[in-house]
Amino acid sequence: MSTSTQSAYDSTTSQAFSTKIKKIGRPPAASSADVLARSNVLYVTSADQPNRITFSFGNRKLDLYGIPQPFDPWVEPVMESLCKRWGEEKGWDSYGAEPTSEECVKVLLTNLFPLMQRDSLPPIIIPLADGGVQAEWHYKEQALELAFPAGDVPATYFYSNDITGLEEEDLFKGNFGHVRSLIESLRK
Amino acid sequence: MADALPADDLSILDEDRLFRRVPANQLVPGDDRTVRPSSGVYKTDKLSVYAESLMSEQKRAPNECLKDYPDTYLSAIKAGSVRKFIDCPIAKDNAPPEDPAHCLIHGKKTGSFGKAMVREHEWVIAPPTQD
Repeated sequence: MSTSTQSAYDSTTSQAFSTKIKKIGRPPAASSADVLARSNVLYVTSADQPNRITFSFGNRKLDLYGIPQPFDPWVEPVMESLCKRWGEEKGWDSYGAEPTSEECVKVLLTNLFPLMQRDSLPPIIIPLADGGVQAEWHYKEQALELAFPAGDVPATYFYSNDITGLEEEDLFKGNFGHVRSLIESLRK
Repeated sequence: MADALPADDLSILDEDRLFRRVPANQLVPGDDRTVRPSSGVYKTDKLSVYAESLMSEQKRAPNECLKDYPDTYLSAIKAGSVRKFIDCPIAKDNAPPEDPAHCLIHGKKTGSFGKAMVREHEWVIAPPTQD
């Protein structure tokens, strides 16, 4: 993805989905707080639960556990994508879509951290009509989608390569290592 | 148990264009500084679309689909492209809010379905391209 194309879609989405950033109060003593500059997402680690990181943006806070720090470079664009594209209200797609589910986002992010490596290509995060979310990677003629639908519908991945004509789709569960290798292949 | 799928409505011809609004947060970068819909646009079990033939009968222009939805763009897919996926029948929808041109593409949407729709879609009212 070229920088100019990235900025094109960033510009388009930011016009319609400007995110109000809510700064949370001073963190407790011995805690730390910082802001991901590009996305204005505030993240806080607490002294009493050092394993927990709270990402704060808009009117929501996402508690994630076991997230390695310092953050790899892909974290910032992913959080930015998430902020800009969040389906805020029911009907955000003009057809009655459900608001983006915090639970689905947590599951997606919790899986992304062990899937991604430091120099992995950051995915775009797309809201789905059922409240779920989908991470999308596009690299040359290849595409990978990792969808976490809402409710009891299991997560799936879909990979395609327009040069070889290969398309594969399966449950994410049981294919973690394979999906990780697909993500790895998108930067070679 | 999943609902039974309705019969495919063959009065909607293969060449008929099916219009779908696309919100800005479901756009992704395409080729040559363009943007295109994400496959996520098409991943819903009951995909709402408006059939061009039915709109024409009512003397409605395609851009009427965007009336009241200023932050969306209009994409079209051909009914024939949808019918390549036999588990995704097209049926008119009479449920409220009633619109005689409103149709639903039923069935589970696979990754292949989403990719095919992205590949074959055309913009009717496109998002702006950027320099």
